[in-house]
Amino acid sequence: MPEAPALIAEAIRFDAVGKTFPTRPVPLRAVESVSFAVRRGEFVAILGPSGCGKSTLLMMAAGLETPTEGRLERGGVKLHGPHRQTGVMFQDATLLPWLSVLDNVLFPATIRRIPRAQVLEAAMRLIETVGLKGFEGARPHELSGGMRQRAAICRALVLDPDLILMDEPFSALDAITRDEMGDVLLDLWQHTQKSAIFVTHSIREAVLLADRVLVMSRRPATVAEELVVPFPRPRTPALADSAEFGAVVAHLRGVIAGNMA
Amino acid sequence: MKAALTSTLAVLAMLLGWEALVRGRAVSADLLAPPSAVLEALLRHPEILLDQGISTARETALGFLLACLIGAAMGAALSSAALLRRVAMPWVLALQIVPKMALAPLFVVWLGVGAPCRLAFAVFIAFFPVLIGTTAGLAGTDHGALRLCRVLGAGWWQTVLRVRLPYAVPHLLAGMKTAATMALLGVVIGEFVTAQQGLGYVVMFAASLGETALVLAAITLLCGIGVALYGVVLLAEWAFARWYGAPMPAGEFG
Amino acid sequence: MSVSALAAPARLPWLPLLVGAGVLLAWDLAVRLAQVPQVLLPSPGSVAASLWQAAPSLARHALATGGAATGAFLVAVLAGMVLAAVMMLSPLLNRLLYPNLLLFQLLPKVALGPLFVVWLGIGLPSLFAFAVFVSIFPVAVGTLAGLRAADPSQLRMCRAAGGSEWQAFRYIRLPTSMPYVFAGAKVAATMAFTGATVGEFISANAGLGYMVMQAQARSDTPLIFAALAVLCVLGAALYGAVGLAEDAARRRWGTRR
Repeated sequence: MPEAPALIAEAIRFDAVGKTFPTRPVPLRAVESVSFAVRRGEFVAILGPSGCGKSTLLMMAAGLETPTEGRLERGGVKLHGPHRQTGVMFQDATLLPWLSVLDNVLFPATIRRIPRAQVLEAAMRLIETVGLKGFEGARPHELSGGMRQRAAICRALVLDPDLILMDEPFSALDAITRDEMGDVLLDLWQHTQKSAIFVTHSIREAVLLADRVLVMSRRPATVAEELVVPFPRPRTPALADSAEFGAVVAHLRGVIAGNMA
Repeated sequence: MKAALTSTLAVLAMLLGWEALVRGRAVSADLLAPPSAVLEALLRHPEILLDQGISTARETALGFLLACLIGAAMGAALSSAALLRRVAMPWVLALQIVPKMALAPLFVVWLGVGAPCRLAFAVFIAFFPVLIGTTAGLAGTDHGALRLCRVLGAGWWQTVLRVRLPYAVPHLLAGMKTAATMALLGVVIGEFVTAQQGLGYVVMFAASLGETALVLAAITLLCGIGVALYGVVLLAEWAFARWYGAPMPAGEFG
Repeated sequence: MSVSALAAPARLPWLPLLVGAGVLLAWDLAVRLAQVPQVLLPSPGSVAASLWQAAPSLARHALATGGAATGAFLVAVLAGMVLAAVMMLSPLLNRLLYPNLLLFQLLPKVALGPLFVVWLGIGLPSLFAFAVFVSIFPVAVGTLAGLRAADPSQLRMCRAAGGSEWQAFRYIRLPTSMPYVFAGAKVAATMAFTGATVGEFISANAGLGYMVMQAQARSDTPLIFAALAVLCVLGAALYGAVGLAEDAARRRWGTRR
C-alpha cells in the first residue's frame, strides 16, 4: 500500500514516543512520551535549551534513530528509516568540498538515481530564490557560512519533499547572517505548502517562522507547552519589530524560565 | 618562487663550500670526494651505474606499486571489518615499533639473494604508510556527510564511491608519498644484504674499496630515483587536487 | 601466552594476544607436521631453544646494539631539538638549513651507511654516528613543526603582555611543541635501532646485526630468529620508554594551566 497523501491531513505524527540510549552505566533517557502531529503545510518550531533531546526527536523524525517506545507515523504509515519525501537540514551545511554548489544541490538526485535533467530546472529556481544565482559553479570553500547554508536549504528542497526537518540550521552562523537566513526561509514558505519541523533555541526565530511552537522540557525531553503563533501569513521580517511580537516572545521566555526553574 | 630560489641557492652554496673545502685541502678527497669528482665518477662508469641504476629503479617502482595495492587492500579490509581490526591492528602497529628494516636477513633466508627477496622486503617496508593512509582516510570521512547519505537512503557502494573515497584519497596520497621513500629504502637495504646487484650493492662495493667518489655517484643516482618516484606521486596528487578543487585535508604523513 | 592473557586485567587486548598465541601454535604444528626444513622456518620451540643456548652471547651483542642505539637516540633527540630551536630563533639559519633538511627527508638516508664506514672505520664510532644521523631528522623536523604550531592568538597575547621573543618561546612555543617532539622521538627510537642494526649489517665486529649476518652465513636460521626477536624487544622497549616519558611529561606539564 503506497502512501495516500490526499487522505491524510498529518504529515507526521508522534504518539507517546520515547527514546532511551543504552549507555553505561546508566541508560540515557533522551526523550519521554512525546505526542504531537504536524499538519500538511504547517510549520512547527521545537524550542528548548541545548542538549535537551530535541535533536534526538528530529533524528527520529528523519528515520535515523528508532523510537524505543511509542509510535511514529509518516503520512499515516509507521516510519521505517529515512523517507523519500523528507528533506533534512543540519546545523552544518555539510556540503561535499569537491562538488560545485549546483552538484551539491543535485546530490540527492544523484543518490536517488534521478536524471539530472529532470531536476535541473527546480534546482536552478531554488538557487535563484535563495540568492545564490551566479554561484552555481563555485566550490563550498569559496562561500561564506550563510551562503553554504543557503545551498543546504536548496539541497533539502530539491526533490520537492512534503516535509522538511531542520536541526538548528542557523545556530553556527553569526547573528546578522542568522536573521538573513530567517528571512530567506520565511520567503520560501510564502510560496510552498510544505510541512516543517524546525528545532531551535532562538525564541525570536521560532515565533517569526512557525505556525506553532512546542516548548520542550529539560532532559528527558517532553512537550512542556504548546503555543499557536497568532500572526497570519504572509509575514515579513518587520513583524519582529512589533509590540505584539515582543509580547509573544516575552511570554515564551517566561514559560521557558518557569520550566527550567 | 622566492623560497624556491633561496633553497636552490642554499643547496648550491653547500655544494660550492664542499668543493672549496676539499680543494683547499681542509678535508681529504679520499674521505669526502668533491662534487666535481662525483660528477667525474658518474661519467667514468656510465654502463655500470646505468645498469645497476635500472635494476634498482625497476625493483623500487614494482615494490612501490605492490606496496600501494597491498596496503590499500589491507586498509580497506581493516576498515570494513571491526573484528579483523581488533585482531590484526595491534599486531600491525606492533610491527611499526620494532626496527623492521633489520628484518631483511629473514627475507634472504626465505627468498634467496635474488630480486624476489628485495621486492618482498621493499613491499614489507613500504605497505604500512599506505595502509594507515587508507584506514585514516576511510575513517576520516565527515560525519555530517555520512549522515546525509543515510538521510538520502544511499546504498553502501554509493556511500563509498561518492563520499568515502573522495575523503580518503588525500590521506591515501600522503601515505603513498611516504611509501615511495620507503620502497627505495627497502630495495637498497635489500641490495646491502643480498650483495648481488643494484646501486646499493655498488655503494657497498665502492665503499669497501674506499672509492668515495663512486659511492657518492651511486647515492646521487639513488636520490634521483627517489625524487622521480616521489615526483610521480606529487603529480598524481596535483591531478587529484585539480579535480577536487578545494583545499585538501592534510594527511598524516608528510 | 594464552593463559597469562586470560589471567591479565580486562584492559589487556586479549583478543589479539589470543590470536597471536594461536598463530604461534599453528606455526609450531605446521612446521612439525609438514616437516618444513629448519633452515627455512624453524619452529617456535627451536627458536626458544636457540635463545636459551645462545643467551650469553646474545646478551653481550644485545648490550652492544642496545647501548649504541640508545646513546645515539639520546644524542639525536637533544641535537635535533637544539637544531630546531636554533632554526626557529634565527631566520637566516632557517633559510640556509631548512632546504637541506627537506632534501635529506627525501634521500634514502640509510643508503649512506657505507660512507660512515669509510669515514670512521669499522666499529662503534661509525655505527654510532650513522645511528645519530638517521634518527636526528624526525626529531628536528617534528620539533620545528611543533614550534611553528603555536597558536597565533596566544603569541599575540604574550606580546601584548610585554613578553619578549624568548619568553614567547619558553612559555608558549615550547609547551605546544611537546606532542610533536614526542612524535618525532618515537620515530627516532625506531630509527636509532634501524641505524645501529643496518650499520652492523654493513660491517661490524659486534652487535645483534653482526650476529644475524654470522648466523646467516652458517645458515643457523633459529639463531637469526632469536637475535631478531631480541632486537625487536629492545626496539619496542625504547619506543615504550618514550611513550612513558610522554605520559609523564603530559601529567607534569599538560595540566598546569
